Amino acid sequence: MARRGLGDFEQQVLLTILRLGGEAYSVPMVVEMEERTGREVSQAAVYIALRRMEDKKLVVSRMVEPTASGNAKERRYFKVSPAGLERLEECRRTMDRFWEGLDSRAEGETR
Amino acid sequence: MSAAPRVPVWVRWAMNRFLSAREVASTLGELQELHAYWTESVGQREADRRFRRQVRQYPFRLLLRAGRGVANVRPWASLRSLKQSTRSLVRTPGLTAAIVLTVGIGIGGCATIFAVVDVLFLKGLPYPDADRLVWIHSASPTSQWALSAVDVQALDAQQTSFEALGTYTRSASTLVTDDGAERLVYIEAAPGLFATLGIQLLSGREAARAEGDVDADPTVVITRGFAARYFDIIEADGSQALGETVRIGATSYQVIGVLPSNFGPLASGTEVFTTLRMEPPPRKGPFGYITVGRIRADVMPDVALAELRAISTRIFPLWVDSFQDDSVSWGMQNLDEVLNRDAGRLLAILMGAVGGLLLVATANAANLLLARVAGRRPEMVLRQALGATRAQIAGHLLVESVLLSLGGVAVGLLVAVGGLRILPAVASSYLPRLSELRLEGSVMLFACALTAACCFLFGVVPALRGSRAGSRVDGLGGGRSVTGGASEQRAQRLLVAGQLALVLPLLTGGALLLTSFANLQDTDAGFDVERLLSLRVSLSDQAFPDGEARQQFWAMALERIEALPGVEAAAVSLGRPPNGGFNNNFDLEDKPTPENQSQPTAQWIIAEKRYFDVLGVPLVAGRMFESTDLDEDAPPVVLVDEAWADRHFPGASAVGRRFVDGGQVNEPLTTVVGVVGTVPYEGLGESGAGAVYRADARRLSSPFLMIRVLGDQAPVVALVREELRQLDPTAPITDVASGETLLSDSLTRPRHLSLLLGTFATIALGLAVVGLYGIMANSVERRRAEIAIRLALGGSPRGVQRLMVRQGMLVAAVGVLVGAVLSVSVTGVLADLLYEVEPADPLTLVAAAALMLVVALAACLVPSRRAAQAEPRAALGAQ
Repeated sequence: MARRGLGDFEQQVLLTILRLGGEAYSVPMVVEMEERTGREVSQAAVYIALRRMEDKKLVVSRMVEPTASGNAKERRYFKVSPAGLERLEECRRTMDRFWEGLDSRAEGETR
Repeated sequence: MSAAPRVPVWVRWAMNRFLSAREVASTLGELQELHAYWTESVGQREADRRFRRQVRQYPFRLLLRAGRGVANVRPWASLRSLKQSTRSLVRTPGLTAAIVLTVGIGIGGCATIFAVVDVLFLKGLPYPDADRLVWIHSASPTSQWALSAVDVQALDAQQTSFEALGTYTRSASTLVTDDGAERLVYIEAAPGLFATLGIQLLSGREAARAEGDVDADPTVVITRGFAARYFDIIEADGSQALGETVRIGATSYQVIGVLPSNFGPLASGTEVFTTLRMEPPPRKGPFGYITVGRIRADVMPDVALAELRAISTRIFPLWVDSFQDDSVSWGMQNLDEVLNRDAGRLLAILMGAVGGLLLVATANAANLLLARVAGRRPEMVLRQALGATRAQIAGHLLVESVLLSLGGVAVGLLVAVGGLRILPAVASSYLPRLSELRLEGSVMLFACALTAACCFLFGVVPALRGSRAGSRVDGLGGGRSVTGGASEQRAQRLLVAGQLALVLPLLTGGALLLTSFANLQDTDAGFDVERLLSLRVSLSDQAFPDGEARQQFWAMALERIEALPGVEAAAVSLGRPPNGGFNNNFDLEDKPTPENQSQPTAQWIIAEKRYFDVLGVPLVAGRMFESTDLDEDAPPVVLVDEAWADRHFPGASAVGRRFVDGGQVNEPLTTVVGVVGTVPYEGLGESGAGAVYRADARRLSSPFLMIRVLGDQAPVVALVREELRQLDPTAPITDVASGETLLSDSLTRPRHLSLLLGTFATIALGLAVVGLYGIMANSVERRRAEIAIRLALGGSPRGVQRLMVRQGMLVAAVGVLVGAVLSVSVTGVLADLLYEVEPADPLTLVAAAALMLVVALAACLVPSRRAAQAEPRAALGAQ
C-alpha cells in the first residue's frame, strides 16, 4: 500500500507547478521555490521528487525538443495530474481541520 | 553567459547507471540553465558552488530512490523470484558451490582473525581499568628487561605515582602429590599483585604485606581448578581448600586464597601463586622480577615515568659496586602492548591474505552473476516491456546475490567456529592471548557486515546492469546478446584482471614464505639432530637439597643411563637448542663497555663436557672443560661458540679472553678456555648474539637430559624412565622430545604461515583462472560468426587461435602487471618473517608471475582451440 499523504516538499513542488501556470520544468520551479522559501533548493531533490510522484501517477511529464529560439537542450516538463490535484486538496483539507480555531492563538504566541 | 563547472566523471558515471543518456543530458542541461540564472542573481562564485554541490547530490539521491524501489517490491513477487533464483543457482551446482565455499572461507577467515584483533586490540585486557596498568622495567637504549630485588624494594618505598604495585617471578619445582611428584611451573607473587590487577578472589584473601617478609610462614593462593584437582574439592568458591597445605619442593605452603580458574593473559595457565618472600639483596642483580603498576587516576603517565627515572637515578650510586651501566634506567610500557607482543603485524598479514582471497572470491562471484545477467537480457527486456519497474528487476536480480551471500555467511560462520577452536591449539606459540577467543556477538556482526559488503559488491553492479536492459533495443534480439554486450565484456575483463592482480601478491607472499621455510629447514642446525633424545628431570629440593647431592645423583644416573642398551651417550644441560637459552650480560676485559652504553649480552648455557659429544658440536679452538674446572677454588672458565667469538673478536682468537660475568665486579674474572661450533638457542635462523657455556650442569635440580641413542627412541624413553624411577621415584619427567621434534616445533610459525598463504594463493589462482576461462569461452561464443567468416575466407585456424589467445593474454598481462606493482609494495610487511630471502626477491616475483601467465595461457588455449576448430558452415548456421 502506498502512503496516502504528501510530504511538505512534495506539496511545495506540486503547488509550484500550479503557480507556474500548470506546466513547468525544473529551472523555473527551483527559482520560484527559492523565492518562496528564502532558502537554496536542490534541483536534484526537485527532480527526484517529481520522478517519484510520476511513478505514483501524481504528475505527468513530457520531453520538449530544443527550439531554435529558446532552450539548447531537451527539457522535461511536468504537469499535475487530476490524481495529484485531488491529493493536494486532501492534504489542505486535513491541515485546515487542524488549524480550525487556532489562528488567533498561534499569532498571539508568536508575538 | 559563463560556462558551468565541469560535471565530475564519477557523477556522470553514476547517473548513467540509473538514467538513460537522454534523461542525463536533459537533467544536466537544466542544471546548467540554473547555473546561468544563479550567476546573475548571486554571482559567479556562489553559482559555481551551488552547481557543484547540487550535481554531487544526484548519485546519492538516485541510489536512495532505487533502494526505496527495491524495498517496495511486493512480497509475492519476491517469493516468486526467490524460487526462480534458487532454481537458477541449483542448475549450476559446481559454480554455485565454488562461490559459496570461497566466499564463505574468506568471510570465516576474516571473522576468525577479527576475533583475535578484537581480543588483542579492541576489547582491551580483561582487568578493570586496564589502561592504567603498566609494566615497569629496566631499560637501556637498546633493550628492556625485568627489575631486580633492589629495584622492586626501592620502587615500593619511594614511588608516589602508582596506587598499587604487583611483582612476581616465575619458578619451577616439583609438586608433591599422593601418587608421587609432578613438575610444577608456578608464580611467586609479592603481596599486592592481585589487588593491582583488580582480580577478585573467589574465597580467602591475598597475602598481607607482612607475609612477604623473608621469615614469614609460606603461604599460597591457588586457582579453583587446581583446588578441584589437588584436593578433590567440588564447591564453587573452593573455600574448603583454605587452610590446607600444598607441598612444593621441600616447602609446605598454607592455602590462604582461591582464585577464579582463569587468571587472565598475564599468567594464563598458571594455577599456583606462592607468596614471594624477598630476601634482602646483596647486589643489584639479578633482574628477575616482573613488576606491574597501576598508575593513579590523577597522575599523567609522563609524570609517573619521570618519577620512575628519578628513583632509578637516586639509587644508582648505592649499588655501583655491583652495577656500573649508567645508561640503564627504568621505563614503563602499557601492559596490553607488552602482552600483545608483535601480533599486530602478523595479524595484518593474515588479514591481508584472507581478505585478498575474499576479494578474489567476490570478484569471481560478480563475474559469474554478470554473465548470468547478460544471458537473461531478453527476459529482462520482456519484463520491462510488461510493466516491471527498474527497481523491481534490480530487486529480482539482487535476490540471487543475497542467496549466494546467505550461503557464504553460513559457511563463513562454520569456518569461524572451527577457526576459533583450532587457532588456540595450533597458533598459541606465536599469537598471544588466544585462550580468550570466543565466538561473540561482535564477531558474528563483523561476519554479517562483511557478507553484506560482499553481497553489495557482487550483487549491485550486475543488478543495475541487468535492470538497464530496457534502454537497449537489441535486447530482444537474442542470439548475439546472450553472451553480453560490449560493456559487459569490458566489465568482466576488468573483474578478471582485478582478480589476477590480487592473486599475484598472495602467490608471491606464499612463495616467499615457502622459500624462507625451506631455507630454514635446510639451514645447519649446528647440532646432530638425528637420534637425539631429550627430556627434563626435576629433582625435589627435599631429596636433593644442595649441589653436592645433585652432583652425586647425576653421576650415578648418567652412568646407569649410558649403560642402557640403545644409548650411546648422555649428558645434562640447562638450555636446549634451538629455542631454550637464558640471557646474561658481561663486560669484556679487552673491550670495556664505554660509559652510557649497555653491556653486551649472550645466551648463557650450563652444559657439562659430555653435552658437546652428545650433540655432536665440535671443539674449534682452545680446550674442552676439564674435571678440575669444577673444583671449589678453580678460577671460573667458560666455552664460547663461534658466533660469540666472531662477534667480539673477529679475526682474532677468543681463547684466553676474560670478562666480568653479569656485573659481578667483585668476583674473579671469567676466562674463555675454548671455542665450540655455533648452536642456536634463540630460534633457528636467528642471528643470535652467540652463546657462552658454563660447566657446572650436574649441580642443577631440573636440567635437560640429552641422550644420543643408537636406534629407535621409543624403547630408550621407557628404559630411561624406569632407570630414573629406581633412583628417585618422585622425580617428574617432562618435555620429552626428539631432535626432529625440537627443530620442527621451532618452525611451527613459518610452517603454518607458508601453508596458509600458499593454500589461499592456490585457491585464489584457481578462482581467477576459472574467471579467465569463463570470459574466453564467452568471447569465443560471441565471435562465432566472425570466426566462421574468417575461416570461410581462408583464414588459418592457427591465426584465429592466435587472435583469441592474444585477447585473453592481454587481460592476464594487465592483471599480472598491476599485481606485480601491488606485490612489490605489500611484500615488505613480510621482511621480519623471511630467512635468507628478500621481500622484493625478483626471482620469486618473476616465477610467480610466470606461473600465473602459464596457467592463464592454458585457460585461454582450450576455448581458442575450440574456436579454431569450428566448422564455418555450422557456426554460421547457428546464427
